[in-house]
Amino acid sequence: MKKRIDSSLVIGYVILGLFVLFVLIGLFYEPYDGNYMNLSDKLATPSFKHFFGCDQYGRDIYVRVQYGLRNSLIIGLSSTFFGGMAGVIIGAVCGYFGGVVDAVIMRIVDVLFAIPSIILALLFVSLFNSNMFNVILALSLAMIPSFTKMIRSEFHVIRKSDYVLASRMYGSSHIRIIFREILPNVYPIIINCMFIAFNNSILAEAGLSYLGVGLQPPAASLGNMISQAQGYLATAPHYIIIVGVIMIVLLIGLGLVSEGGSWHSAYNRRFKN
Amino acid sequence: MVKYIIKKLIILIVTVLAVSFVIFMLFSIIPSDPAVNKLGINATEESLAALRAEYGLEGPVLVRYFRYIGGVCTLDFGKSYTYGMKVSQLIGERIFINIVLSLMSLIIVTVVSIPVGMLLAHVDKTKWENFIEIINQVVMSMPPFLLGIILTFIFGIIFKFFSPGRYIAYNKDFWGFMGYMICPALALSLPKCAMCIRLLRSSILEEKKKDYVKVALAKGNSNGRALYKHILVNAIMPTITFISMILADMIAQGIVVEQVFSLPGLGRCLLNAISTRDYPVIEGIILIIATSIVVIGTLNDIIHAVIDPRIREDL
Repeated sequence: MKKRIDSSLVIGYVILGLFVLFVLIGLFYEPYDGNYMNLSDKLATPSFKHFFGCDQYGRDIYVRVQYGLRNSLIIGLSSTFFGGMAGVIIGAVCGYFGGVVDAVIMRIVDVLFAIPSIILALLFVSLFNSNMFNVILALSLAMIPSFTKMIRSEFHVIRKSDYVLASRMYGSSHIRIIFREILPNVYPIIINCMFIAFNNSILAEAGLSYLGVGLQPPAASLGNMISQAQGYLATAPHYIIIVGVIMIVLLIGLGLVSEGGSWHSAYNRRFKN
Repeated sequence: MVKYIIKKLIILIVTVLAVSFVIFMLFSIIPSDPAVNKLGINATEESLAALRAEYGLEGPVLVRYFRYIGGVCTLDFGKSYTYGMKVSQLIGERIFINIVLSLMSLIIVTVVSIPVGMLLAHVDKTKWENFIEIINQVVMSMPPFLLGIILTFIFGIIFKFFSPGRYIAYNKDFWGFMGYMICPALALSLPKCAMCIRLLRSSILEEKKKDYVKVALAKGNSNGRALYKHILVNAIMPTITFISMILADMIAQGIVVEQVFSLPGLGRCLLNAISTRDYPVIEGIILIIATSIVVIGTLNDIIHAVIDPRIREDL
């Protein structure tokens, strides 16, 4: 049992590593300009000239996929980072101090929790413009509640433990206890949360751009490529197959990594309090 | 128990009010005058004022909010800027599709995942295990809209079970409509089924190791009886929570899936409203979705308290 979890973790990291490598290669070497339209190559099937074929405007899908993955990774990583940071800090403060502040903040978090991330992002984009910054902002905001709830319930338990008391007696400040004593103990949970959140934000971004409110064309993203490819389902199935397979493999890699055996417990904890 | 339910209901109402307040405030702080947008900058002051009165836009923000909430209590969400009809009517025509979609997906998840999860807990440590794990992982990783496209391709284009994009209205041909809804519901529910199966299986396997199972077996219970009467009762708890979370997620994902199958539900209405900046419609739809999610969460808590005596006694 133990061995299998490890092997799936390794496979997950390998998949993610390959994707990162693929994106990095794109920074140094592009066979074509991803926005260059060559109508004579319209919907060309994969060949040595175009590894993944071409889309309906004759743009090279290989380069477009690279662009799209790059955008997805940027959005996913930065929203996970900002949302996660904010969530962890809020959760830590709420869980550690408790009291009135905790009650008020948790009500606000409940409000945010009631609006699904994709709807929150839609709301945001409808209020402001849809560009990368706003998408990142919306997704980070949507991520805060689950982090906060998770970290808060952990802190709530740990703050009563003996080592916290001991540290208090040594005269440590609250901030030191939160960041130096308790936080390292909830570190595995944060990492786990981060991977789940990263997974969700990539999904949400793809959903948004599939709906046409995420990144605006000509910027490439996996979601808007899928939505374009859907129109050529019967005439050029290679387009949807390539983009779809890439997306699924990416999500499988993320799923394998984020599981790490404690997927179950991660979801369990989320609703404990 | 009754006290607990009342407490939960109060929290529910407060949360819904807070959600409506936040949404309403967001839309009132943006500098945009729908009356000017509609009539143009050359419109006379009187006609602008008349239109504002019609949309309920005069007065300070708080007064407008309370008027809005008063209206919402009687299912009046204001008037759409673009369609010129009541938002409640607009939503009422479309919400049936979303309700059917969510309920159908919920039924698929429960009917498929609970028996399959129990079955898979039995076949633990067989050669099937790895194979099942891989299938599970792949299905779990599929975004619903992509799965929807794959299902359209397989059942719509290859097998021709339904014509893709040809929606059948429920008030014309009800059973045809239900048939058309099967694919969207599958697209929405299959990834969740995979998650649910894994969760149930792992919690059954976890519970199996505990001492009370040994006691139950030592007292002469059969394996099956131990599974049904003892293990399942404990193992199902996380699954119930998970299913309620799934349902909330499916309501949100349904908006994307609607587009794949071109269903004229709330999702399309919301997207149209966003592109035309039809704020009352956006407010109404988001409020309804958020309310349903809060209600689901509360129901989950109450169901937990009803089923689990440990929680019940704490109250």
